[in-house]
Parts: sequence; structure tokens; C-alpha cells
Amino acid sequence: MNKHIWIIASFVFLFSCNKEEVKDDSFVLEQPEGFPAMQIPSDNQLTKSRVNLGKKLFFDKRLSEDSTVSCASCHLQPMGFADNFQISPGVHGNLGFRNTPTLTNIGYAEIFFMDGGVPTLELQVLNPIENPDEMNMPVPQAIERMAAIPEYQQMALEAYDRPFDAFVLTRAIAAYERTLVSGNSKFDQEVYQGKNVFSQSEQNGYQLFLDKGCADCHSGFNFTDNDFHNIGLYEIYTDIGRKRVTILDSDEGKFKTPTLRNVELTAPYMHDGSLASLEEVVDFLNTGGETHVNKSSLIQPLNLTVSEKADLVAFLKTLTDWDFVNNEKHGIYYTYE
Amino acid sequence: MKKQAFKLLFFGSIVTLALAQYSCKKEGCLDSTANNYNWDAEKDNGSCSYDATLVVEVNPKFNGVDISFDSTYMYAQGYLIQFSTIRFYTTYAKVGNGGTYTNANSVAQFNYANSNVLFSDLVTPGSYDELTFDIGVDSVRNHADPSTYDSDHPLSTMSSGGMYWTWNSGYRFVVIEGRFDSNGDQVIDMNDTPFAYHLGLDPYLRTNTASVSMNLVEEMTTVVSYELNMERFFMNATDTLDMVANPTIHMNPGQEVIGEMLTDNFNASLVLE
Ligand code: HEC
Ligand code: HEC
Repeated sequence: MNKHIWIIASFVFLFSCNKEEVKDDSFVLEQPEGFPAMQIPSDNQLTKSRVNLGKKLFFDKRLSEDSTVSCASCHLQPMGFADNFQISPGVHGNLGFRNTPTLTNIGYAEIFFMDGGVPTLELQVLNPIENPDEMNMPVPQAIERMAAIPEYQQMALEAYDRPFDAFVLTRAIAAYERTLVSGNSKFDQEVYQGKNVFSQSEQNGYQLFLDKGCADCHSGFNFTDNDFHNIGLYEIYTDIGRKRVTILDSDEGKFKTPTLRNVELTAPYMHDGSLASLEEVVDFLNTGGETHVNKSSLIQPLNLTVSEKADLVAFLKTLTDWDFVNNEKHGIYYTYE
Repeated sequence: MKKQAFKLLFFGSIVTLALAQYSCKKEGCLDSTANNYNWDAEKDNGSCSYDATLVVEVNPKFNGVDISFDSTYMYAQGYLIQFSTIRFYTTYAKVGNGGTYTNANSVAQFNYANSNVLFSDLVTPGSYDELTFDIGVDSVRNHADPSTYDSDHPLSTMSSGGMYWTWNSGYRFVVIEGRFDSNGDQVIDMNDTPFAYHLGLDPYLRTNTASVSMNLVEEMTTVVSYELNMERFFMNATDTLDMVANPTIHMNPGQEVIGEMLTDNFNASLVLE
């Protein structure tokens, strides 16, 4: 009889001990008004230790060949996690062939890169590291280098219960990227939070955005249909876009519809950064674009007046979320405790 | 009272169980290294069976001699070439007997820089008349996440270094790299143009089938050797690849015709020795 009591007693003891030692690692992702819940893979649910590790890696230049370039070199928070180069320089000043896109709400994206060759945020991480025009490090080498840093080993064990490897690298950076949620722009306050903050010009611009077909492609809470379109930017595309992945002629010149959130901060525009300002973008769309067999029928001459163009630009600027770009939690000096 | 009864029942059942075990001693294979090891058997009845080992080797050759990365070779178009990388994937290797197949290997990566062994795997013993595998990675595993494999798995991020397309998630099925004597000085050095033939994409998976009579015997190793004829890789009955005009093929749009030719050539160049 006595024995039984002892066994029960020690169980109680074990449990009480555990409770005291385990700190709360759960991460509560903010879900702004009007946003759906984010789909997060089961093997990479968010925790504080995962996000902290991913953030550290995102800002770490040692992931590049000569330790000069990090993810944050091209994806800068003050510019909505994009930058203001037409083409961003990588190691040795090498230039790729596309403009850096924003990472605003990237956790809601369904397919990655402008030509859609990558199916998950985790797999996307491998590209910039290995890309000769970005960080130029064979991924196995990058992993060996980072795994030799004791701090990363410890953080990997804490976050994923395994030594630092490709799984940890890709999972952690993706976890951090999923926290980059922006949903408190003037637009959100007006439309989702029911506050009366739009000026007359912004209100007109919003109406034009809906009436002129912009919202057919830049649709939903994140201003993208996650699909690919040819908007008639060129008669002859040197960058063939989606066709690069599918090899289908019918995909030539099609690019993923970009979100328009924080678009004011991410100039220049389009896949090649060829349009310098939002005014130039609206001027271009107003013409109805160049002739191309794959051009979407939604791109038509808009016959906008000068003041209508200004209204449309004013509306696009309501998508800027200053709380997001100033949120210190997304920066390298903040640690989730 | 109740406690007593419970105790009796408890010990009673233990005794019964033990007796039951002794009275009908189970027979089976008692060797834990065998295929049919029976963990609850107590008497060996001589039924243990074991796998055979099948080793598949690949010997890359040019003009009939084994390729060395230190040597140069005269290309069909009259200039010297030198190889630096010969790698490829095979999946679903099977041995066949009259059209019935037995699995031999799930996935293997050949990397001539490391060894000339494609795979060494356990196979059910028997007589076979065919060896077949796909060159490349099947569409399911081609788009799976390489970071989820153990690092020594052929498809893992670590082992697939240089064999993975990061902008279009999937593996390169075949990678052949080197340089050709582009300046015509009869030596190959850093001044010469590199060539890189990276073949892949789902529609370009090819099945290689060879007739070979093999008798795979329990606990014995059988070696099957292929030749990879690299002259054949660059040419078919009607065309020879012009390296000067096409030093790199990455299966980009516009490269379909050459990409497909090289894919089919590669399959045809891999033949039994
Ligand atoms: C040299 C500049 C540069 C660096 C460094 C860089 N990126 Fe990018 N990033 C780009 C460009 C350019 C693109 C667009 C490429 C394309 O679509 O083909 C891009 C695209 C992306 C995308 C896809 C966005 C979308 O909407 O599909 C993600 C996610 C991303 N980068 C994350 C990262 C991460 C994580 C790192 C660090 C491991 C990183 N980037 C490093 C320039 C850079
Ligand atoms: C047929 C679908 C479609 C329609 C309609 C459409 N867009 Fe777009 N938009 C796109 C695509 C696709 C791109 C990217 C094109 C590229 O990179 O070449 C884009 C790019 C943009 C950009 C540049 C974003 C950046 O980060 O580079 C802005 C701004 C923009 N669109 C605003 C608008 C406005 C305003 C309208 C309505 C007048 C509109 N769009 C109508 C699909 C569309």
C-alpha cells in the first residue's frame, strides 16, 4: 500500500516541477480586422523561439558568400520590406533581373516569386542564399557555416528540438516572415474598422479602384488574386515571366499580381522596376497598355481625368501602414520573451 | 476479502500465460538479421531467409576510356573538352523477371567525383532478366521539400547541393559540366568557356531498361556495370551539340529542343558494359 502512495507522490512532484520550468513559448499572431486566419504548415507552427531565430537569420550577413549581404539588405522594413533600387545589388554588386518585392503579408501568399516557381515560403528561403546575384552561397555550405556558431545551435535546439540544419534554416526564416502582418493602414481603418478617415479624394480614388477593374486582380484584403497576368507592359518581354516555369507560350509576360499594401514605400514599380512612381503606374494603366496576345482583357484605356488620376494615387497611398513599418518587434533589436 | 480474490486472479493468470507459452513452443526464424525474423518464436525451424545485395556501377567513358577529370578529350567538332561534373539521379530501380518486378532501389544519386557506384541495395533473391530505373526524380518527390530529409539522403538539401533548382523548386535530373577549348590554344584553363548541361523538369523523366540475366543469391553481392558513353550524350544519329553556340542548357524556355535531345541522348548513352 505504502508503495503506491510513493509512486503517486512522485508523479505529482514531477508534474509540478515541469510546470514551473517550462516558459510560455507560444506566439499569438495578430489577425487584423477583415483578415482571414493565416494558413501555417503543421511542422512550423509559430513559437517565440522560432520567430526569434528566424529574425536573427534574416538579418545575418554571414548567410552570404563574403558576409556582406543579408535578406534585410534588400528587404528593408522602412520600405515595407522592399527597397528603392530598380535592381538590388547582391554580393560583389552583382545585379539580378528583377525588382525586389515587398514582404508585407507574405505569410498570406499562396505561391512565390513573380513567375510562381516556388510553392512554399520555406522553400523560397533556399533561393536568395544560392542565387549568384544575391547571396551566392551553396546552401550546404551556408548551413555548415551557421551550424558552427554555438548560439545558432542552441537556438535551433530550443526552437525545433534538433541541431541546426536545412530544416531549421528554412523553417525559422519562414516563421519570422509570417509575423510580417500589416493591417492598420488608413484603408483598414476606413473600410474594416469603420472609422471615417478617408478624405474626399481618397474616397473617389477607392471608388475608381473598384470601378476601373483594379480590384478584379488586386482583390481581397491583401489586394492580390494570387494569380498571374500579362498587363501589357511591353510588346516584347525580355523577362518572359510565368513562361519561364511553365514553358507555355500562353504564359509569356505574365507575372504574379503584387499586393498593393505599402506600395507607396516600394518604388520603383513592376517586375523590372521600370516605372519610377505611382503617378507613372497610373499613367501607364490609363493608356490600356501595349498590344500583346496574352494581355488581360481587364487592361483597357481608362480615360481618367487629371484629378481622377490624382485620386487613384491618393487612394493607393492609404494602403501605407506606418504602424507596420515602425513596429520595433519586426526589427533585429527586439526579442520575443 | 476483495483484495485476496484479486490477488489470486492476478497470479493465476500469470501462471496460465507462462504455461501456455511453454506448452506450445512457437517455431520460426530466430536470426534477427534475417528477413523473416520472428520475434516471438522460440525454436528455430531453419526457415530464415536473407536478401541478396545488388551493386550498380556506372563508368563514364569517352572514346572507350574511363573519363578522368584531369584529362582532356577531343570533341566531335574538333576541339578539346574537359569534364568537371558528372551527376544524375535515378528513382524506382527494379529488377524484372518475365514482366514481374521487384524493387531494387528507391532513389540514388550518382556523383562521379565521389565514386562510380550508383547504388548498393538489398534485393529479394531470384533469377532476373531485366534491370530498369527512371533517370530523374518522379514528380511527387521532385517537388517535395528537400530540407525534410536526413542529411545523408540523396534528395536532402545537403546531398543535393548543386542538383536543386531553387527558383523552380525541383531537382536537376542530370548535371554535366566542364570546359571546352574556346580559345583554341590546345589547353583547357580558366580562360576557356565553361559548359553546363542541367537537365530536368517533370516531362523529361526517362525510363532506362536493360536486358541482363542475373541470378541474385542470398547473402551474396552481384555487381552490374553500365557504361556512360559521353560521346553519345552529345550526339544522336542526326545532330551533334554545338558547344560554342550552346555552352549552357538550363531547360529555360527556348531550350526545349536541345534539352529534350540531351535528355534522350543521356538515356541512350547509359548502357550495360
Ligand atoms: C539582392 C537582393 C535580395 C536579397 C539579398 C534577398 N532578396 Fe528576397 N527577393 C529579391 C528579389 C529581386 C525578389 C523577386 C524575385 C522573383 O520574383 O523572381 C525577391 C523575392 C523574395 C520573396 C518572394 C516574394 C513574393 O511575393 O513571391 C521572398 C519571400 C523573399 N524574397 C525573401 C527573402 C529572404 C528570406 C532572403 C534571405 C534569405 C532574401 N529574400 C534575400 C531580392 C533579394
Ligand atoms: C489583369 C490584372 C490587373 C489589373 C486589372 C490591374 N493590375 Fe495592377 N498589376 C497587375 C500585375 C500582374 C502587376 C505586376 C506586373 C509586372 O510586374 O510586370 C501589377 C502591378 C501594379 C502596380 C505596381 C506594384 C509593384 O509593387 O510594382 C501597381 C501600383 C498597380 N498594379 C496598380 C493597379 C491599379 C491602380 C489598377 C487599376 C487601374 C490595376 N493595377 C489594375 C495586375 C493587374
